[in-house]
Amino acid sequence: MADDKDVLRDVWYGRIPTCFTLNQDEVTEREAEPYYLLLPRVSYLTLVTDKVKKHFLKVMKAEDVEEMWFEYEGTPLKWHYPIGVLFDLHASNTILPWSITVHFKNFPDRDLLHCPSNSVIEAHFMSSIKEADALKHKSQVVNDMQKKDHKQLWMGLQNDKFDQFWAMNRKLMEYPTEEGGFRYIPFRIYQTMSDRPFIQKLFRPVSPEGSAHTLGDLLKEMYPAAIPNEGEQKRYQVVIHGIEPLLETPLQWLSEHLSHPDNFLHICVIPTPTD
Amino acid sequence: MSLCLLDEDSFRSSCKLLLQQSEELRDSWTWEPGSSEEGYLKKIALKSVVIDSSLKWNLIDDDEGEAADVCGLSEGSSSSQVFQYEYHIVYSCSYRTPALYFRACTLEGRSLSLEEVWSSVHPNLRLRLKHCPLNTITQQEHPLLGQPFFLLHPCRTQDFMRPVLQAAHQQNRSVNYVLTWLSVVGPLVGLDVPLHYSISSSSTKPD
Amino acid sequence: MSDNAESPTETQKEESQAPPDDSTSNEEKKKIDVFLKAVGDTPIMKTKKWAVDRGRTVQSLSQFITRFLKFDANEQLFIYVNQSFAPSPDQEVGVLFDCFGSDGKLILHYCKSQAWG
Repeated sequence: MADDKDVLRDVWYGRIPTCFTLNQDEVTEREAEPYYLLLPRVSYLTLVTDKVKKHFLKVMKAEDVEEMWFEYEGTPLKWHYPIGVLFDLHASNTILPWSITVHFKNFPDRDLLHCPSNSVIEAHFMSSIKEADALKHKSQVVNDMQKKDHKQLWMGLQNDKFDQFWAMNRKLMEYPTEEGGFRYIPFRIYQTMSDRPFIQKLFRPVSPEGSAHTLGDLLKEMYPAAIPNEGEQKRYQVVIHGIEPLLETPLQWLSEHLSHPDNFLHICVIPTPTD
Repeated sequence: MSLCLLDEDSFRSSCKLLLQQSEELRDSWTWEPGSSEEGYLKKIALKSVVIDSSLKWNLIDDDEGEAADVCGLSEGSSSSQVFQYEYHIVYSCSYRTPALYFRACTLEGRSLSLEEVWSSVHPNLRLRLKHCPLNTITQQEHPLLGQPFFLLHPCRTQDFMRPVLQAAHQQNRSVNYVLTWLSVVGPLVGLDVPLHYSISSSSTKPD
Repeated sequence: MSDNAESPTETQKEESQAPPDDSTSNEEKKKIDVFLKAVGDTPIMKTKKWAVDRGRTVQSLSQFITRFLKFDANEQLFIYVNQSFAPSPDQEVGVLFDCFGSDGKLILHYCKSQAWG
């Protein structure tokens, strides 16, 4: 369907207007102005915030600067989660721009992974792609790719090149027609209401009888609380890329079109706003 | 076909067996969280790492305050620091194998960096570790706790488990997947797996 | 005799120690008989029985086998006792013999695994 390609583009080019403010406890030589930036939903904080760092370093002494990290309303933001996931999980239903606080001291190493260089982000990104393919194709497709093909996926993301990325990624989205879909769907369900960071288990896109599993089927199995019972008020929103797909949507279609570049379907379950 | 893959139920029963042996051997593995079905094996160990003047790395295992095996004391000035290591054996449903997560901190609670953690790995192994993609260690989020841990990547586990499991299968012999796996990967990250696990393990297949 | 973990390549150190010989007479208590068995597709060693110093480590023995079988840099060797337990690389073979030896010999299974290039 021609529409499906548009969905891929819409997902890739999703942006979140963000305002970065320096933590007031940081030591500065003069007042730090906030910095505004449109963040790509599908990328990672540490990959796209060089300008933010440069901006604040202008008003700080080198000795007061350690590893940069971000926080939203007291919660350290995990750079290894896609930006869109962080927003949907912590700040959806709030007024834009998204206000993020920037820190250069007291790195919370019990909460956040270190990110000393872009190669760490690349390794993490590739690791997700490999894990997703282990689920979809028993790693066969990703293992058949050459090193330069892997590099192309990463460079596509890093340089915001949709065509370059998808020229390679389409291979990871193929499956034998007779199977009707991937072996298992790579997904993670996030919620802020428990200690557990996410739910990730094995789930097939097609039932043993051959019918297509839907988003609703996945949630019924993995997170039944997300689906309201008959007549009950909806307590939770199920959000992917900032929208609430219909629960009847086939999971295979979601996996092919609404996955992040890391090939995972990241699903946020958040409490419905009560206003 | 799927001999070298471990399903979650088999993982749990293998862990149960390992736990029983651990109790007999007083090796301090526990199942966390307590009664939950979905959990992981955990072990905490204190290690004293001795650094001498010629940069030779020696190890003194110091579980429960008693100096245990001392291997390779060296002469010359030395400084030692005690670190607390924490090891978790978690099931990876993506790779259908166990995965070894670990972290370390000083007694004051400062987390160790990967470089500092490597100091507890036997020098010969450190070289192997650096060159062999089989043994990649990266910092990752613990899938159940959400905190930063180091992970010995599980993507190649099937490759080294396969020959052992196939041979056992052909000879109608049972193998505790988790124990065999642990005996191979443990030493790579400074985790001691006492020989006695192999002596006391019975040949009843975990079910 | 203990293996020193000083140099990463140990070649010089290796050659200065007597390599395991395949003679059938050992000095009592100093050498033990080791029987090496291949697992799966791993190449078989022509000489399977070796007299090895008790103090020799698993790591040292492993290096010997990989050199003997001419492993590539990206091939890894695994050694098992009881066919399913990998002893720690710094474990001495004498201790393994005491725990797992029978009929006067220690059977060690070894296995090759292809790592990515």
